[in-house]
Amino acid sequence: MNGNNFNFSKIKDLLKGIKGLESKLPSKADKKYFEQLEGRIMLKIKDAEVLVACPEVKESLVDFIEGNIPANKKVSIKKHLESCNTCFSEYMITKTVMEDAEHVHVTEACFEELSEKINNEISLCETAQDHIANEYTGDPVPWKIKKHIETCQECQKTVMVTKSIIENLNRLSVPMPNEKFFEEQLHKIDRAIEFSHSSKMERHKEVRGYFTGIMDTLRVTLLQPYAAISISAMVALLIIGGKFYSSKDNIEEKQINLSDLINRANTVTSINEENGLRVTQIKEGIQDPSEDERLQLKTTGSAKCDPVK
Amino acid sequence: MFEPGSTPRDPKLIDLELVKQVQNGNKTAFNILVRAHQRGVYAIVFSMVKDHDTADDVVQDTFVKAYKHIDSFEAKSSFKSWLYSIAINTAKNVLKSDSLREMVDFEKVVLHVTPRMSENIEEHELQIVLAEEIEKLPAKQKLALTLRIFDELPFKEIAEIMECPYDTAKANFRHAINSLRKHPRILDAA
Repeated sequence: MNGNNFNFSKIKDLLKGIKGLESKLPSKADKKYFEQLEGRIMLKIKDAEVLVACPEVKESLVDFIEGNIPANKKVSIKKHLESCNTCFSEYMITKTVMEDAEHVHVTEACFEELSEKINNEISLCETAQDHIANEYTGDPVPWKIKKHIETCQECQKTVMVTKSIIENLNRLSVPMPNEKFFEEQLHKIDRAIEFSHSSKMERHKEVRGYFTGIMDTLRVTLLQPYAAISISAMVALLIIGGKFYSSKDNIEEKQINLSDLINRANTVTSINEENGLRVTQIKEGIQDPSEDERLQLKTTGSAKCDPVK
Repeated sequence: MFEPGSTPRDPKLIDLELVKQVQNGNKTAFNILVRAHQRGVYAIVFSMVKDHDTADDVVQDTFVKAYKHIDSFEAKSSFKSWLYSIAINTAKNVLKSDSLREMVDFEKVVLHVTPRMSENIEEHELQIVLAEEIEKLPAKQKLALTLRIFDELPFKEIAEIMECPYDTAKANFRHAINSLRKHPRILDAA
């Protein structure tokens, strides 16, 4: 505010301009008079700068009583309390309560208990608010939470908001076309079903038609003598050819197996013969047995056969 | 069948009787089923595809599929939830095609507000905000909310349609409500 640059002539005009005020102005409203007026106005403005409203005073009462407040604000609150009865009575109540509270002994445990209670209440409130929608799902709400919802103002507010949401959701709707649209849609569905029916039947007919055509062609072709002879000859050739190839394979296989067996038998016989001759020769003392043969003869227990003994 | 003048019966039972008749070759019974459910199917399909013509095509496809496979309906669930499953799967398949994704205007608000004469400005405002915020919910939550609020289906049937456990269907609905409730715009409007 630019309080020092007062325009006297403007104030003079302003005051004179106010209806009925002109007559109240002294006859000698000279420069001195207006200087005095300026001084008074400036004082009022200074007061107005520190003037505070009731809500601000009420809010600052505790700080005011405890003295935790800037000096200029302290003066303005003091002035306000002198002029405002409501704020003054509130000040007196707050002051009394604070003085009484000084005599109450609060332990650390008491503070902790209180803090825990507050925290529990906050978490219970959060849980309870999530359970409020259970009313609309038919799910049960635990007794403790139900009791909390009934007594908690915040939860009651949530109950009301949820109720309002559900009520208003019920008033919303999808933009629906008119009845004529649904009537036409019904006919379209009817036609689509008919079409799918008829196309299915047509497909059946088509497939049947193909088969009939093929059979007719075959019948006509087979009835021709040259075609019948040719096809019969081809079929006969195929059958004979097939049989021939399969029998040839069998014979070759059998032959291989037989020759293999004969070879094996011959080998076994020659080995046996060699072994028999050698055993006889050993027994008769014509040949000396090897170390292995001596051991073998020993284990079989044939003393007679043991040429060593 | 239901005779004229008889006491009103459970629509589910009526549906089952009609389905039996369709399975025995009565096509007129299927027409009655179409008439009974085409609005509901249209609403749920439109809320997914957000386009009138596409919704119309999907609804037609749904009913044709339902007719073709009516013999496979074993009445383990209600006809409505069986039909809705077909509709939702058909709509999902349609949405998968890229060509449609370009065509559909996803900015459109699906649920429009139908204010009542007695409603005040605050309620009207709340409905507008709700309609906008429903669109921003995750797809499963939105579907659970739509089926519950607009189609008034029990959670058992919602679970069948969404092909998820019963508790999951409920949880999706609950989360949808809680998300809407916590939204600052809705809190202000409510």
